[in-house]
Amino acid sequence: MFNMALRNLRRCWQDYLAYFLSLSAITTTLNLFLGLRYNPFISAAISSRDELVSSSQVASVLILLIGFNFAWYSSDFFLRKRYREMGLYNLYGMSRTRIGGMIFSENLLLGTAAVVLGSALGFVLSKLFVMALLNILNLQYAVGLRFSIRALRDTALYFSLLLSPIVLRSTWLLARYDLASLFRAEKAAQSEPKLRRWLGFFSLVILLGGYALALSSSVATVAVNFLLVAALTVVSSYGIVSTFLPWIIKSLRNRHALSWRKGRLIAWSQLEYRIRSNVNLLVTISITGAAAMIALGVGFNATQLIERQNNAVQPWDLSFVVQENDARQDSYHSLVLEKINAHGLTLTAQSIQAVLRYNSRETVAGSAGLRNSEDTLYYAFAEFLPLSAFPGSSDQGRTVPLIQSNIRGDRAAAPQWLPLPSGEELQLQESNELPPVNFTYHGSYFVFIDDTRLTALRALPGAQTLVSYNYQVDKREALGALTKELKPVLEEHEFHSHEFNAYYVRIFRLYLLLGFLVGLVFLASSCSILFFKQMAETRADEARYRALLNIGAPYRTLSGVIALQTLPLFIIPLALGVVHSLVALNTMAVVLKEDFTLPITITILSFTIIFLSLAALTTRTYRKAVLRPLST
Amino acid sequence: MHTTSEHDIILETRRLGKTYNARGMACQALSDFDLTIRSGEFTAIMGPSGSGKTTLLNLLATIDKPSSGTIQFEGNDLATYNSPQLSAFRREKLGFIFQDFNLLDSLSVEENIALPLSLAGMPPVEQETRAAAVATLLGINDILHKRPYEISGGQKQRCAAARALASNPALILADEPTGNLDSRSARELLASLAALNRDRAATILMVTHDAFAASWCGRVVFIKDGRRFAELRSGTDREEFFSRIIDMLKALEGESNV
Repeated sequence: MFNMALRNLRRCWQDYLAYFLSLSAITTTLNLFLGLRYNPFISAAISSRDELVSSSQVASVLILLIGFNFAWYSSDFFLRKRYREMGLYNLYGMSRTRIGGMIFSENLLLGTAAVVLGSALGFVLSKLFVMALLNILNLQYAVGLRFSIRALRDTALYFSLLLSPIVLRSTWLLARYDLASLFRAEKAAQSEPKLRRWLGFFSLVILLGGYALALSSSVATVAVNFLLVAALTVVSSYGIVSTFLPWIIKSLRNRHALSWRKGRLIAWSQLEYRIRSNVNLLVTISITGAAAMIALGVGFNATQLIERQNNAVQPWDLSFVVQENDARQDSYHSLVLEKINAHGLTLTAQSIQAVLRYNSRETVAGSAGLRNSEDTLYYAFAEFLPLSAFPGSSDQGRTVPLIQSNIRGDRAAAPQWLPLPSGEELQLQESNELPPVNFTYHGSYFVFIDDTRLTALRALPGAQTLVSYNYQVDKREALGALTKELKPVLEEHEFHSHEFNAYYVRIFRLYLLLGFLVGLVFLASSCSILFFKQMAETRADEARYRALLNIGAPYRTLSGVIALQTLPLFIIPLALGVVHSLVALNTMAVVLKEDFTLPITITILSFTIIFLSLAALTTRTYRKAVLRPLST
Repeated sequence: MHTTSEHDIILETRRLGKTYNARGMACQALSDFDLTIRSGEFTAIMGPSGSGKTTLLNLLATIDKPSSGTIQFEGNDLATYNSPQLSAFRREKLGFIFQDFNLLDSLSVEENIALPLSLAGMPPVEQETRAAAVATLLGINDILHKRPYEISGGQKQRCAAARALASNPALILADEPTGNLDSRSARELLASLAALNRDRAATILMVTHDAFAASWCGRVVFIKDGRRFAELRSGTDREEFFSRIIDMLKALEGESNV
């Protein structure tokens, strides 16, 4: 049986090659992710290894699901292509059990070969992958090449989980068909259900309605609108692809002056048929493509935002806070300077600031410090200021200059009167003359206070004056080891290192990278399914195009016809996905007051390049398969 | 391209031969085959399986290249044509009717008929006029907007005939056109082809192994083992011609059995 399976694979190697390579690519990615857990260089280089391992496990499961979806679809085509062959085997006396066994053996051989090739590629690429990962995480570490038998074991296990249900289904499908059905299966006519024009227009209206709802969302309504807009987008995308686009093509076909030129009618008719027979796939690609583009756009932007906010909130690379009268502050200061030198870093700036707090509001007051000890203006969180700090009973006396907490500043939304915990209200007055504030906490309002008010504040009960030591170095990305050494000593003194912020940024980048890779694998597998579906039809199309060549259709015309019937299958989901993501990101840009131009441009460009490359590859392969020149 | 014909000869082959080489073995499919087709003739090529009928048709259709000999079409040697010229030749001078129809399921009957005209770059309005005219001629006006899978085998073949005729070709090549039809549909198709030949002076070359189909032609050329075996011309009575064809087939078989 194995010999027969091997012979079959050899005989149909051209059909199976692309499928096998795609399976191997999925196995390679799986192996790369699963291998991270056992990679000794990752363990040594990354302090946040647990997050890396758990997120790579999640990514592996996602890839497994994507791989399953891909293999399920693809195996279906291959099986359908071979129904007649199976019918012949059955006709000549081969039992269904034996045929099932043969299919099982073929899949086993193919799967084993994919695991071997995928793991070998995974092993070769693992060094590059880990280097890229560490580079993205801003970690410098020498990476070597190590083979992990456990990664191979996990890959084989995951892959067999992926393939088993598919093999069982194929065997079951074969057992279900009677002999006549097997012979008839290949000859299904290209019949078309009736188009409902109203449904197409209704879908367009729903889609535009969903877009309008998304674009008109505010901070308050965006969460409520999200689910509704998502549902409307999915439903209307389905309606547009299944009804509206075919209706447009049909209308164009009916305009003979346009569609009957240079054999275009073949392309239009084939395109209409192909769109209608691939609706689910096209809609899935457009929606998930849009989701991936949105996620990447937001993720990319969020990474930058986190870095920007971290830098704004904590402009210093190292800092610690001590009581004003703490005797150890000089020794701590000396220790920090000494460690900076010992780690080959150069001190580029330092400051010692006073910090004022009320009623031990540690979490907030830690940031509400003095900007610079020499300044006569101080920042403070308005919400936590006692009103008594602002002497005078007149409205004027209670008025303080307002600085927005938000980096971008939404001054129009700021209340004129700020309610205080005491039940009183503080009148806020905007000032454009004050220097910008670094605080970025949303929803907080900062006020400036002068020396006189500071003195008054310090005298209030519950007031506490602290001293903050701040340092800046030349290479903030090299603070890892230094932070490890200082942390045990300064932990209880609100020790801060840029390394702590960088950690979260790294984790975020890691998620972004894994998300990007998973998105990429998904995209590649979806497009591969589209590719296989086109290729599955080449056998029937080859005879059709040969007949056209026979009757004198110019090769170039038919070549153009093939491009016209294949390229839109990739362009339609891409265009839908791009429009969906542009609307979504535009909505988010308005709601979050963030600029998504750069990330969305990068993601859309990347997706467009990938889609168009695959479209060109499909067109080329399809053309080569169906348009063999006549022997003349 | 030279277009003036010598008298009314459309196609002429001289010592036409084709040898296939497969796995080092040479197989002579056609040898020294001479054939002359005049304008307005309805000719059948008959012979048993493997006699070289399809090879001959492929060579005449320029789908395949001869190993020896020449094919002249309207006085032009087809061997001198390059690939685009051959495509143009097939498009403009030949019409094809295939045994398995070769209609595109995704196109309507009307679109199928107009397809060669569309590929030839004819203005759409003219395509519509021509498609309607040939559809009337073949009696398929009422099914123009149907798809091939919605019509009968006979209607499909008449649609294919209409497609072959639409470009007003100098020669229609029909490859076993009744092979997939029931007897009634076959009779209707043959009547249509005969009418086209009679009323519009269409020149038709039909490859068939069916004596009944061949009896509708004015001339039958018999081929055996790649060589021209005999030729019969019809008289006034089709039944009598049919009998002569049967007799010739018997002679052909008899010689094979010797």
